[in-house]
Amino acid sequence: MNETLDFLRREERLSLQLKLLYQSYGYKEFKLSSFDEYSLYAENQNFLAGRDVICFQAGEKLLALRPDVTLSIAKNYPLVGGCAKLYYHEKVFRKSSRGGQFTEVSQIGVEVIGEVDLVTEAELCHLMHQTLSAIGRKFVLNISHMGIVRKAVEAINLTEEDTAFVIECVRNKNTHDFLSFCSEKQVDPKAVRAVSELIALPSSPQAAKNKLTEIGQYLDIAQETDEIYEMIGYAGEADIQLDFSLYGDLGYYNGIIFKGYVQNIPQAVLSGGRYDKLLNKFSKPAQAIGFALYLGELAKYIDEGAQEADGVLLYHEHNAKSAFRKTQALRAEGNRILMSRTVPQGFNGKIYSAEDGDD
Amino acid sequence: MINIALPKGRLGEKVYAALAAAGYGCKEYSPNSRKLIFRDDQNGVSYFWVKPSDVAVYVELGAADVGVLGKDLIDEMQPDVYELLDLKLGTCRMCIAALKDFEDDFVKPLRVATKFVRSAEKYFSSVGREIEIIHLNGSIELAPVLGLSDVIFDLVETGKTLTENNLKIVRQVSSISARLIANKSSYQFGRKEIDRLTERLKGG
Repeated sequence: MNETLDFLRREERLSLQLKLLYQSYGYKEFKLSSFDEYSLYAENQNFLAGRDVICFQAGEKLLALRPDVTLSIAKNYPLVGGCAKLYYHEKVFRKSSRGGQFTEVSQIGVEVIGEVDLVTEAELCHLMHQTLSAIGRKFVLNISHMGIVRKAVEAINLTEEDTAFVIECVRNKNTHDFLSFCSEKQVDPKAVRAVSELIALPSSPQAAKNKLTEIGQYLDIAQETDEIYEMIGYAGEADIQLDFSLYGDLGYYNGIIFKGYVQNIPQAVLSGGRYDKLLNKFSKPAQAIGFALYLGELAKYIDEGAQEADGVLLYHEHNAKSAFRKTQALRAEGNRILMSRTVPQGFNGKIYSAEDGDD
Repeated sequence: MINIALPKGRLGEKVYAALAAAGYGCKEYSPNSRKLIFRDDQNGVSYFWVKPSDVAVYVELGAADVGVLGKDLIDEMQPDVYELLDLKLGTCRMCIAALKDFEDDFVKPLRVATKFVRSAEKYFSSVGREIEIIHLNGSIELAPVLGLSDVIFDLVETGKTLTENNLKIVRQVSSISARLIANKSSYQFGRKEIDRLTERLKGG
């Protein structure tokens, strides 16, 4: 990144860097309105990270401040054939899952809408890798496939409530409660084995391959497994892990899904996946895949360093004009100069004073 | 170095003993000390004593890589963490209890006193019974005795407190025990260490 951008906050620098990255892949920027109809969010609550939305009456319409970008893009982007490759940098308005106040959170991401083939999935995987790499810390990109987890869970053949319980066990890597449940319900041992092996699968794609082939002997997951490995074949295995505890809402997601973690940041900072079903909800018979990086989450954990001026120029009423001219001259030389009557507390930079009597 | 959040009290002491037996002892540890952090570089472990209901917060927000808390609190708080092991310690039951002569009329909403609001709502909604929650923070058994509630939704260990207060168990909702939980991000970067700890606790 250009050194002259050092004055920007890291979050701003990162977003510029990522915009350049996405443009270099031929993606076009897409700007959204900050509002959408409240019904969009009310009808798709399971797609959102939280249920709280800020809404207000505007004429006869009930509008909401956008808590999510993908929903708005899926609803509003017109299908024109072929494949639209877009990126965005937008604010979303939501509450933390732990409650508290609404906050405005910055998010940058990529969406591909139209025809999504394996090469496009691999390109997205590569872009996610590059996106996480740009943060400059150790990271991992976890990959799962909705089809594999769904088939494993469906093989158990349960009621809706019991299926939700099993999915919760998979999401939490909770083998113990899953096994007790299965022994109580006398579940087919092959189905039990498939799910428990998926939960405990080694994270390295290479190490997991044999296990997935074994599971494939009694569960029809060959196509999904090939899709994962072919995609990884394009993007490379470095920093990529398999993690079948990733499982999105079946009403929206299908196919590959992703989550990105950065060391020493306690939550995932990136998530994405294939969401053809969401488009279908808006009567758009097309495919879609995308991801978002939560810049707002990242900013909480990135040390910005002191954003201090290089120097302070002290002035009084009697020399204010010469102080103003001297400050401008120093700034023209590339210095960050604060004009002040006193030295700010704890200031460590250079202290300048204007010549007395110049005014 | 693995950072472990332990619940203060009897359960925490039992869990520490299990961890020490599994090779994660800490020379500095003393059950009578008022120190809240114990560290042992040789065994690569650091312990924090925290309020049981705060363990999930410490782990979810990454201040601790792993922690131990009761399944009752996991169900109630639903933290975004991995639940790796049932330690089979601190076992008890989540029960619905009422005065010995209580009979549900299934007409009025059932008044339920509890500190486990979310779990109670989830359970009664799953059986289709309309309820009114009375959120209390302690001495839950007192509520039906004083006519404040029809039933209580609470943990029962031996059942002695219930008997002494003229209460009976109406239904057992679930079995509760201590669970080992892990921060999702810590697990990505320290899976080997965390899996080793889990296996050793299993006795492997």
